[in-house]
Amino acid sequence: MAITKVWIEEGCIVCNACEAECPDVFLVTADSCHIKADSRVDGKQDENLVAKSELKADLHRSLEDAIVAAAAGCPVNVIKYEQVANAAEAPAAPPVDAEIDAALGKALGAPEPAPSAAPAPAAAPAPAVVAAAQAPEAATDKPRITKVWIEEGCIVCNACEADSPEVFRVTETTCMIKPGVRLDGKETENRQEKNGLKPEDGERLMDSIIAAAKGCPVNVIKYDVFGNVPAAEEAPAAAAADSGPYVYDYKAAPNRQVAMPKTAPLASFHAYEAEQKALAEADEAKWQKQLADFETAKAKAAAEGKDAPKPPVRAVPRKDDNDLKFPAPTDAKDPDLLRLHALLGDKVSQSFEQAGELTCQVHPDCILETLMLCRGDHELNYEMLADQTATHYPAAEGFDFSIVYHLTSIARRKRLRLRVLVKEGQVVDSATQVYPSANWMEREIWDMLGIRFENHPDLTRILCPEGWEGFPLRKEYPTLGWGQRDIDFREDRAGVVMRMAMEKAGQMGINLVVPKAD
Amino acid sequence: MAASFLRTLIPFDIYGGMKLTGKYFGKVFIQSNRQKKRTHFTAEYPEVKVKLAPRYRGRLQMIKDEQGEIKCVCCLACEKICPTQVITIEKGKKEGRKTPYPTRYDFEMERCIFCEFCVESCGFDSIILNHQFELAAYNREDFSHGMEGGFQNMFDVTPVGHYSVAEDVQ
Amino acid sequence: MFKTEEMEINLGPQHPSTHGVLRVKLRLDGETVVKCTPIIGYLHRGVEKICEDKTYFQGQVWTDRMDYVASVSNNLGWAEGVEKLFGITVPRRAHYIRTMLTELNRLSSHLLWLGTHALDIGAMTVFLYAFREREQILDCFEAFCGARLTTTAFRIGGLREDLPPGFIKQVQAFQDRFLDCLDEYETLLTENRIWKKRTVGVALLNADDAIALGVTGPVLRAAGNPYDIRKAFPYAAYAEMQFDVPTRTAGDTYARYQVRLEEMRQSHRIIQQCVDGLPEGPVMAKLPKVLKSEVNEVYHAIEAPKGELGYYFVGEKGSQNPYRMHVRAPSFVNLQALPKMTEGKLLADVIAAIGTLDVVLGEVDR
Repeated sequence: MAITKVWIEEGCIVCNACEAECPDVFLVTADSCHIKADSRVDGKQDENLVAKSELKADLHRSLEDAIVAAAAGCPVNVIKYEQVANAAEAPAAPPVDAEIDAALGKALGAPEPAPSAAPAPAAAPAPAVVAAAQAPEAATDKPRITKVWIEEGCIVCNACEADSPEVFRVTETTCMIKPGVRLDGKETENRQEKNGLKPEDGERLMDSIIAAAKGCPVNVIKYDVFGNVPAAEEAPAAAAADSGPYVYDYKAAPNRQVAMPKTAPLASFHAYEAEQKALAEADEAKWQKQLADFETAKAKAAAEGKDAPKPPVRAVPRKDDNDLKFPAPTDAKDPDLLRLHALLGDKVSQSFEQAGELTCQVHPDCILETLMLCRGDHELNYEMLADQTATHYPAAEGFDFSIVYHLTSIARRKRLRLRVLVKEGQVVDSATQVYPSANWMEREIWDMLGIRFENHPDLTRILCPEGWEGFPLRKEYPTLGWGQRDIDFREDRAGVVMRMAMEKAGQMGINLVVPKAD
Repeated sequence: MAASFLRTLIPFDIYGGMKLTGKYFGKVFIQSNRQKKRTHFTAEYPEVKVKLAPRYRGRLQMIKDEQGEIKCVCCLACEKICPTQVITIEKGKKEGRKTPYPTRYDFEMERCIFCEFCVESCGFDSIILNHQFELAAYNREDFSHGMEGGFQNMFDVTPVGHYSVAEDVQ
Repeated sequence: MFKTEEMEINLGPQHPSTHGVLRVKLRLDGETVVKCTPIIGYLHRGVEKICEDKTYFQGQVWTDRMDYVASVSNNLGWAEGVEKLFGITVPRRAHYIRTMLTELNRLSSHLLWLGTHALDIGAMTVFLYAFREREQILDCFEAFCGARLTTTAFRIGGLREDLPPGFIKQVQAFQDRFLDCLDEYETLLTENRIWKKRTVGVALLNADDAIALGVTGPVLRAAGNPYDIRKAFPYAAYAEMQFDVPTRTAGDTYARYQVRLEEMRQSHRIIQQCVDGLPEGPVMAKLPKVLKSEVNEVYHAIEAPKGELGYYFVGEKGSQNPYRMHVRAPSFVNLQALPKMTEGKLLADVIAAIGTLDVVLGEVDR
């Protein structure tokens, strides 16, 4: 992926957000935002709205992330760009644009595209379109949805449109299957004619249609499936059938999937050092290349008898005018860390200081020994375990959790952080023998992250009830509650959910009366 | 020994406590009742409204400029900063207006935590937290506020509940 | 001849003297407590999980709702923890205002404790007097930030706005009469024979046990250990303040009462110093619009009214949200000492022990 063009639409509010994200491209002036001259092919400096001049080729990839971040961070969404999968290919429509256009059209009350007009998937995010374009050949023998239709009894709740906006459109009285995905291109409920879906759409949108059908409170969305639906889709369906429509199924709704972290942010002096070294080397290499380019250009100019080109200027890092100073880690100099290192030797993986805090990472097998040392050694003398907690790092290699112990020496006014890295299922020695205050903290860690401790007097759940499933502070645990029905109250301005609740109460024999304000 | 025995025998502590209570009783009895001077800290609430501080954080309200035009330009800053995501804005256009115009501005008070981050983030001073503090209602619809023409709108105070007497809007 | 049997009863979760939704399972031999098991979690809202999904700016509103009687202290812990994570320097005036508000909050929290604790034990009158002063403090909060309880008072890098006009006068008016009010509470309680019978020698906890159980705050200081984070690891403007750390050696409920009352006097001193020496200048540091952290890990603890309130942050590179946020809640750790304080004692003293620990269940369960 690379960005070829970037321009500013009308409506800039001069908020400086883009310049903070990507100062190489954007320059915020008194009344608008400009694309900088040095980043453009035509060398002008303006909004680039009319000219749509291309970015310089070397910036296509290097600034891609920054431009995307700037466009996403723009409060009024006026930064537009063209992004191509490969610089050689034709530019695809930027996804942000399409979404905004669709939202605008909807907001302005424009009629939905007529059957003959542009197909509905125009509103779909670009990656999906790309996937569909690649899929058709392989699509034929894969499981897919051949038909989808709406039975009588639609309560116009918008749930299906939220799950699968490409297939369903909710009107004032009923729900329609959109023309863009249908073979005949009409827009109806599809109840009588049972017209088929386009094969590629049927495969691509299968998950979302099944999710919509499951999410339908009155179960009027029906579909025919070609081939075998994967087993993973069947199991939640059974579970949902058992517990009624009020159980929300995560697997079926892709928009509710938990976003797993991609990095494992473990503060470490070694990693920081290596990163800084790599950055410095890259900078030096760039400078050497610039020098070499200049030499060749100079030689060429001298040979051709032209004026010598300007010598390059080494880029100085931009100095931020703010009160922010990242506390970088430094090597261990504190006597406590040195003493721990002397006493434990190789069992200490690393020790460093950052933001005025001492961190000592030890091997998990010897954590009890270390704690006893910290408590008993007359020079260390850490009397109190102030805090003990753990963090889940699913993206890390070689470990899954870090457990940190914050020790306080009241007499010496010092704090020390001990850290161990453990794997999933690994049992750690409990700290309760040394510090009784670890009792509840370790119960909390077991409750929230599922790390077991050996020799703990009473390792039971503490905040969640007994028998709770899952460990809430793990990263794969969803934020939306289990069994919570996905009601979007924003859509409930007309009181549909209220009506549904009243009906349900009526079926259960409860006579609900809505009190009215005087 | 003798002193502590005497202290248990003679109720100095009870005397001290009764003296304090008597002092306040007398003060209120004479000053408030006879001289009609306010000495108490409480307010007779439903009849007498408390004066709220100018920075009081009540319900979210949209404001208009002198021409009666909505100030909001749909920059979505409030929607992004809201910790509980109670604001929904849809951007649109209106004839004779250069800046974008909100075709929909929904505010769900039932989940609002009145933190004022939205007002802080707004660069156009188009929303305020007004001084309305009695926000209870009977129906769920009473808590969702929208643009003009809806059941509840963002420009007026809620019909149920009182508005503060402190009219000085910052 | 008579058969005796141990009895198990539940105190709470819905009981007025458990200050919220604490459930204590008690095994009784007659009127003596044999075993005491606190059961918590009824108010668990997953604050730590929620904050992982929110930005550093937004997360502050959840700290209001942990210890809801001392929300300003919670805000301060959050703001200073994040500032430590990013390495932000806060202007001196902001530090002073933060210190002043936090001490006012300590007063308000201690006043609430005094009123309800006395009410639990049977002294009704103090409650009314303590709440009268608390109202005045809450009025100050309302004038400063617009809310009385869920304040969201501070911002990362300083304060949202400077003090409102007339705020110093308002605080000074409170300061002028507060010491007299403290004397009134002492008149009602300190020498009161019923109060002494219910508190002296009740719920004992010595210093070694307290440290072993991680107990901090007034409970630890009443046992004789002068550990106060404001002195030991100064934060905000406490390094510039003159104040004493009151201690007692008895380690019983009465000693804790004395320590807290003395602490209120010291808070009064600190507020007066803040008011008198309030420096001029900006109240907000210069910050970029979007805060994105580097890889870092900090633990920042402050002295909340209940004890050591620690915030543990893990920052992810380029992320606006904390990768992990953990709260070391003082009430949570202090509550561990409840079995130690009550086992072998009388049932009626359990109420005194819960009150004297000064737990807030919103913070215990988080």
